[in-house]
Amino acid sequence: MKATFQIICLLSIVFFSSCEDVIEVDLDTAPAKLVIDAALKWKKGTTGNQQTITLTTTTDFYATEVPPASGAIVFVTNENTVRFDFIETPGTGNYVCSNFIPEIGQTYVLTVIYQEQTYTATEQLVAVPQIDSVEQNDNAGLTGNEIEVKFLFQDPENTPNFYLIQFYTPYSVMPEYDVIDDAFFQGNQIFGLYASDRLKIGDEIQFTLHGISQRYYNYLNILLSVAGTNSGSPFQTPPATVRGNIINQTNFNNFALGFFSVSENDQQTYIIQ
Amino acid sequence: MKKRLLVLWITFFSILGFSQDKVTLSGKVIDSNNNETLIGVLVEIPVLKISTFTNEYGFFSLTVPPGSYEIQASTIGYETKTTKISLLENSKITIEIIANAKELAAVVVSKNPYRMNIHKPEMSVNKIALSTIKKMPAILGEIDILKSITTLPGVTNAGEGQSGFNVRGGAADQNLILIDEATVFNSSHLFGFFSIFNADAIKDLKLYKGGIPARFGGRVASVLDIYQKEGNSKTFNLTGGIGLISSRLMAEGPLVKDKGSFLIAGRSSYAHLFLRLTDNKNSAYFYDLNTKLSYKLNENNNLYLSGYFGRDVFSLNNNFINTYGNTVFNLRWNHLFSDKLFSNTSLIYSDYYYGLTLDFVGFNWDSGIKNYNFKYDLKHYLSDQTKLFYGANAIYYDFNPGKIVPSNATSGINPDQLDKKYAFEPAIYFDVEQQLSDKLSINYGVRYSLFYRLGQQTINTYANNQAVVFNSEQQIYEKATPTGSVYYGSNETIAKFNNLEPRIAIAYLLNDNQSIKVSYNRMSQYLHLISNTQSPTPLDVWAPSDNFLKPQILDQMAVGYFAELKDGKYSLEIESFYKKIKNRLDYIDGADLIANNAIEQVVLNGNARAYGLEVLVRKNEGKFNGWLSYTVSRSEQQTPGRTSLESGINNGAWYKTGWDKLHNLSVTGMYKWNEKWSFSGIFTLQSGQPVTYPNGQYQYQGITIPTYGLRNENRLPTYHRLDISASLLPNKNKNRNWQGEWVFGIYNVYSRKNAASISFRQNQDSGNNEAVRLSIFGMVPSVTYNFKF
Repeated sequence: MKATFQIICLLSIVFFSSCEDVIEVDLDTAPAKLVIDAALKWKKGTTGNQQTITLTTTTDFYATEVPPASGAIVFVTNENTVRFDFIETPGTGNYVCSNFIPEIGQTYVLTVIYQEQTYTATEQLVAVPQIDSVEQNDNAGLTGNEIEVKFLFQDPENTPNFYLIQFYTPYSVMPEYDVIDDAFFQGNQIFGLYASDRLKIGDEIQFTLHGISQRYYNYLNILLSVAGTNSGSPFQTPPATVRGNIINQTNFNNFALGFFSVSENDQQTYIIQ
Repeated sequence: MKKRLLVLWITFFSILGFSQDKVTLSGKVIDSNNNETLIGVLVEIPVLKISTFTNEYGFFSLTVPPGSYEIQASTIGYETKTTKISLLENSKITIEIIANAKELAAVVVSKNPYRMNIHKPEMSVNKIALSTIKKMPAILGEIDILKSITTLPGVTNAGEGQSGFNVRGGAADQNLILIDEATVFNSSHLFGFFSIFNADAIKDLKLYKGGIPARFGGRVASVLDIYQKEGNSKTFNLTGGIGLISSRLMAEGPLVKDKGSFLIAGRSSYAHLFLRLTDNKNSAYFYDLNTKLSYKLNENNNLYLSGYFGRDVFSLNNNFINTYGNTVFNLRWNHLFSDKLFSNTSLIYSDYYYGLTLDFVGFNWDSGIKNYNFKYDLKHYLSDQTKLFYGANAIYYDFNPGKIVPSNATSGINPDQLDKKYAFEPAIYFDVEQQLSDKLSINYGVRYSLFYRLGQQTINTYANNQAVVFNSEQQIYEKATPTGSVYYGSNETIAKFNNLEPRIAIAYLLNDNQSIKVSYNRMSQYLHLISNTQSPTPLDVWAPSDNFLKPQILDQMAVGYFAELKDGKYSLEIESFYKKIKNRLDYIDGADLIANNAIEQVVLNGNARAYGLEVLVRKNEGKFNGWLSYTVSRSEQQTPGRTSLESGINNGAWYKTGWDKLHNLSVTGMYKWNEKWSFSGIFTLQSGQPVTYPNGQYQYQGITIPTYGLRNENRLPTYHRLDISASLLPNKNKNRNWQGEWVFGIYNVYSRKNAASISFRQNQDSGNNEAVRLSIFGMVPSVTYNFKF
């Protein structure tokens, strides 16, 4: 539904002789906060042993580099108190583990000790259905001259499911995300849809479908709306800093940004015909 | 029993009236050209210093000692008419007044109608004559009533291309917009670029910003009271206009000469004009239709049937079809019980519909609100010092928050109907207008309103009766999980409220040219527009109050100083107001409102407040006339935590609303050069809209996420714009029986790139962050040709 809404908002702008300019706006910068990017992903058909957690800090909005947070102790434990250590590639803020054991339904606890503060978060590994098929339609989109690609999958019946979908295309240097709640599609075939008038024969689209928890869905739903290009428009909801599931056990108010998630995913790459 | 009481009451007052040794002159004031009744005409007996204004149906009543008098009738745009009458017994009179030739309008008003306003306790009320609105520069050649009221103090629009208007720091959903007494739920076409009101079909409008009389209720910020024309009952007439964006046509004429009339007016924009996309399969347009039938049964009874139908249609490649608009039907019966007692009975139906088809996602969506309204209003002209207004009103609402059905066989959508909601809102009121002495006059009254939220519906129950819970670990508000549900049968009461709403306004005349006024009013609003965007959108749904969404309660105080300068050539109004509102809804971060069947899980009741100072200077006469309005004001909102452990929304701090405008200046000028040419211009300067800019960024899963501090701490750049227009009235060709007029306009003369928004985003090609300004209109010229047969 979010996408629908954005389309309507877009329309209202497209209809008028509007113009967009990139301008200079001076912005304040708030004191830096720790950011824990801990999305553990288990791709179907792999062992999932290799995992990375990235620690950075917030920075000036216009900065082109994000400062890494180095020197932290990072580990994940499961219900059986098995500990998986994440070791930093020195100076990068990337903490890598090569012996992680993913299990569907297993509960994991993340611990990060950084600058004498201890942060923890808990999450369960969520399963995902597999991508069944891919459909291409050459006369699609609002204008009828976009190429549209649908990645279809079957939603399991009788349980609420939440999905994160991710696209990589040649037309954006960063991944594009969307989240799906199955409330209106319960038990049906659902699709992740990518449409663009820039797509042409031979282009490669990588599609990843992640099974996520409701909490992570709620988080991403807000996060993506804050990050989206819709921000600042009259139809935007009031932006706020989005808090995730990571709790500072040492000083409650000095919270860290980011989220700890553990999800199974399925991936497919499609070449436009 | 109630009926008997009413009859008794009427008898009592009638006796009271007759017991004095006086006679009553009553009647109507009409336009001599077309028999159109005129609203707000000052009817005065100068010798006695007694005066009154005609009501919404052109009726007036004056009670005076027997004698021979000169009676004067005057209003803007008309020549003052003096009639001699010998009043020995109760008499009826119809005063015909003549429109100023060639719309010289305000130029030759011998008796200044603004003048009487300083005597009346009525304050915080603005009127703009339709003849004036028609001379103001129009955006894209389309005369716009809503745009014209934003030139008044205390009235703003949140921003370019945003629906509705804001009065004294109130939200757009807090305005009661009435067309022929029927409520209109969405006042804008094309996302706010045009208003839904066709100026050709409108007779009169009045905006109440404060001191709102007890006969109005149900909204807390303002009342915009609009009346449609009845239609010419003398001759058949055709008027219209052809513009670049839209065209309009109105036909009016007698049904039965001098007894009945009809009016039908249509307006439509051209389908493809707005689209830069040249594909023919796309369209975007609006149209509306105003109709009215009036019939005079006899001296004491009049019937009016009016209707409005408007739609906006957007269609893209049949993949996306969006239709929305209002429908209004209204049957009214004016009945005179006596020459002092005027009554009106109204039966009103109105609805707002929103429909959406998204074929590529595979669904149709419908939502809307319907209401059935019965009104009975009495106006009792007791004596020349005292007038009473009393009546009752009952509204039944039927809300459809949304229905979703698959649009094609292959769709993966499951059909769903969000819970329909029903409510009943009865009210009674009593209002007194009293002249206590030569210097002191007072309006006071009270409205007693009730609200019943009715079944049939299944209502969720929650632990501790809290549908929103606070997650103290993450310091965020979250949806609560219902603990169960209760079923309420059809018409069973789910929740009920009642409120006593006192209103008072006092005017004290310092001398003949100056007065001070004070007013207080309490109002309640039982409906909420569920919207958490900076500006309302057409797909926002209305929701009734219930156990979780409490009624909004307003208290407003205003004081004012009013003066006539240079013998009425200029007038000055200065007002200051303070208002606070209880139970203004606010939404938890990330609340998803679309297709949400449990709105209570994402809202909290907060507070709102607004205060400010308004100045209005008018030049009423001369070749050059116009007004300057300046407002300095603040509009804020706060939602504290329910307990000390909760953070509240925005950390419980007061924050500026999206329509807070610290400074707002508007200058409107009209110049009549000669019989052929006249010019007008509007200059607007206001503080930029409050917005929240990022105060940092971070990386998460390969994308950049901005961080934010407190809400609405920044502002868009200052907004300013100049619009001008020129109209040419060619010499009338004697061989043809029609009159034409050219109107040339330029919107945003110096092509200022005002920011409609500034968004912060990551450039898809470079990956770097940037600020992007969206400006909607540069300079836009327009030309319209108007004609009248």
